[in-house]
Amino acid sequence: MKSYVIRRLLLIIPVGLMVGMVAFALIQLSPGDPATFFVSPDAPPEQLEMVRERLGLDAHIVVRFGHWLRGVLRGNLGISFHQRRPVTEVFVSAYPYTLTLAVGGIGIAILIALPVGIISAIKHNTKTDDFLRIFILVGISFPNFWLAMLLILLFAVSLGWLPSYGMVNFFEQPIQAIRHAILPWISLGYFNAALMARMTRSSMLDVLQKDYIRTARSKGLTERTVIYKHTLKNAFTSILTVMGLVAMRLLVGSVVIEHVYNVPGIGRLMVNSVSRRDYPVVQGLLLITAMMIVFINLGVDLLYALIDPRIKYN
Amino acid sequence: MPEKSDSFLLNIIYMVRKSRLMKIGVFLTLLMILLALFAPLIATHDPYRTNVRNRLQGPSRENWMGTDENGRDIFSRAIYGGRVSAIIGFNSVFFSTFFGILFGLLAGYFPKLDNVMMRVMDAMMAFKPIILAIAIMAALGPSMRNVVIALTINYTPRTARIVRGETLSIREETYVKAAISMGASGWRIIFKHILPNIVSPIIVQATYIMALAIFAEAALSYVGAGTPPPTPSWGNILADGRAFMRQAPWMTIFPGLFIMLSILGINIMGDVLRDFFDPKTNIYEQR
Repeated sequence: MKSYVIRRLLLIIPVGLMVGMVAFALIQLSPGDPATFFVSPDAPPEQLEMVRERLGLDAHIVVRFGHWLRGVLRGNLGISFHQRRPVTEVFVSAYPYTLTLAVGGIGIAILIALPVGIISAIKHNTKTDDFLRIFILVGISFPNFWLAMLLILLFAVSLGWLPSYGMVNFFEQPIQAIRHAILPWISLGYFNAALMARMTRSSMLDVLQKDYIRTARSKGLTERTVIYKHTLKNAFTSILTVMGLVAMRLLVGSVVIEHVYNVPGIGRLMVNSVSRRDYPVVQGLLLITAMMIVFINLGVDLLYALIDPRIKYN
Repeated sequence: MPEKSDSFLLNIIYMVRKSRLMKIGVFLTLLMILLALFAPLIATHDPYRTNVRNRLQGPSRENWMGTDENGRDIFSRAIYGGRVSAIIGFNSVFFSTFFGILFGLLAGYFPKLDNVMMRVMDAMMAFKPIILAIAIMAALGPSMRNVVIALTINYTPRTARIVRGETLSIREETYVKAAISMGASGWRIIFKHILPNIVSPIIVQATYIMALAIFAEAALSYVGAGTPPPTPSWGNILADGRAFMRQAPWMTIFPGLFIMLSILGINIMGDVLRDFFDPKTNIYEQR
């Protein structure tokens, strides 16, 4: 186990390097000169050249990559062109909003998915199962930003119960934050709940056919014990895989949902930075989100080993 | 349920006859394809023609799904938007499947290439698809062709991984070893033995990519990084509707319905196909 962890940690180095290269190359090779944003359109070329030099845009791309990489290793992702402060600071100030959405979205997804998946599996091939399967299929196919817009139409525009957009800091005004977050949470939660419920259902069905479940039943155990102690516990590794995927997707920010609800999280920051050609922020966000995904993946893999003693890593 | 036949088409016909769900999936998918193919015949109006006097009108006999802020007919725009989705979807599926098979076969068949190629694929898959797509669109500029490029870059590693895995396991089969010992060339083995055996997982994967691509195109256009206006796309019609939700909810309701029904149809087909070909595999994709 220990050597597995070390090997997985070492593997992060080449993947991280590759991620960095892609993030850097993609943005640096794109057309358009960000220096033009800092001078008036009729400015003399010398002034443009000066700005370019100040932003470090005049050096060769390899030199710039080396420079950027050295900074990254020291935790310095550069300075945002637009906000004129470090990219890490820009990220840190946007992330709490994304985190608020992610935690609630994951919570709602789990709250819906587990009962739906379990009931659908227990009631396999009944009317209830049919209904829940449709609920799942529709959830997987429902574009989340469309759901978001429909929710705004219903709960904000028609009924006026909830605010339609914007977000406040959870740590400063928790109740207002929750009111703002309910619709985004549901928008994020439904698709992910459907995904998780589908996995819960299929892996429960898989386990329910096993011999040891028949044995457990023939021993006279209550159905409750059979379902929760024997089936759910054994189905849990595959459910955890999807939970890992869901957590990963939400923790790196939902671009469209933040866009619909005007939440100033990292998804919206990404879209805004792209349109402002704020290269350092776009690069930084590409790198940070990709590395988050790499680490969450590692975390999920290690969790397996804790939950399922049958898994041995060599 | 299965009575597997060697012919893929026979299998599909069998599934449609046996499964009610598959009937719904095939019906929705065919409907969307027909609407896209015959858009000029079906659309009731010119999707580009503005008519300011007729702006933000609700659904009526003249404009079935109402009009937008420029007085353009939503129904006609949605039908033409389906064309955009279909074109981008099919192209993304084609190219990502083509490159996915190519890279997957190379990595799976030539161990020397495997490590390098798979590390690159790992790195590509570490990016969140929509974030990577937005960055690519920023680099290339907004156009339909560039959406296809962005989505192809996103989905190729997924197919490549599956093809590589299958190739690795088929390479160990006795019949392949026998063919190698008889002196068959690498290409012959790839084309005669490996490719025919990986067709079904690739097709299942392709249906999911189609659904993902339709969603991704709509999402990209919605945030303004996809199909550029005035070309109608389901995503940018919805984006237009965002500002007029109070006055013109039909701009929000109808185009989204098109997106959902087409993704639903494809997802149903994908699920039934997957259960049929390989009940054990589960492909859970990221959006």
